[in-house]
Amino acid sequence: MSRRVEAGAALRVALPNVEELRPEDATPRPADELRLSAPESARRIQAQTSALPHVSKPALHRLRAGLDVDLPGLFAALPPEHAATLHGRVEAVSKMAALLDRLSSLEREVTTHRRGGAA
Amino acid sequence: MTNALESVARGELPLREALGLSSESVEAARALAAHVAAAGRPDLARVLLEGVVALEPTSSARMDLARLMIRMGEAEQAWLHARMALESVAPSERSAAAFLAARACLSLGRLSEVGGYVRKAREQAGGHPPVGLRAFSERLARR
Repeated sequence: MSRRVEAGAALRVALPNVEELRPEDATPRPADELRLSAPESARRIQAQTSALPHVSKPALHRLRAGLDVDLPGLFAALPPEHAATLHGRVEAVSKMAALLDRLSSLEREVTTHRRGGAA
Repeated sequence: MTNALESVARGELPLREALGLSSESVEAARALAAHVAAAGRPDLARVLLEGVVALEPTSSARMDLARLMIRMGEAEQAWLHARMALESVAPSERSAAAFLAARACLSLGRLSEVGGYVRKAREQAGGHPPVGLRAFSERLARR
């Protein structure tokens, strides 16, 4: 470890209002490996998303619908230099679309489960 | 559509507009990211915010991502987003972005840059410094 990094670490410990770094959160995970199905995690996410303002949900549906285009196909039609510039953005948007789908299906599962429990 | 995407690649149009999406839709994704992060899933919030920034790289979205990156221990990414947010036209946002950049530099051990960002955060803040800036600078001054 370099002296600068050591000094930074020492100073960080001494400072308030700097969130603790959590190495377990920093592990990169592709979107398809995100563990939404863990019951505790799913419950917490559902509780949080149900607290979203009412206007947010239709807006999210519109967002998801708007992303329902064949982005890779469209980008294939672009000149290579433009496609290369946009590659990272296409990937980020595709991952977001996939996650929005998974969050929606999580919400449906929870709703169905509740109805089943109430019946 | 292809013409619109070429404009996006040239930096003349946000991807959001090329896809015909409203600002409200993208803001809803930002709000969702905040809720998902509060549910203890910063990894999912990151996917959402990276999508938001890809659609329209506003300074607010970049700062959300910078805050999240600091929380996740990815200080280099945090610094990059904070630095880009610094180009924002709103002084209050520039101040918050400079403070985030200072925190990121501290995490990276780049101590020589921390003071500069703290000064910038103070200069841009006017009467409304970002929460935590004062305590942060006091501690720095004592070192």
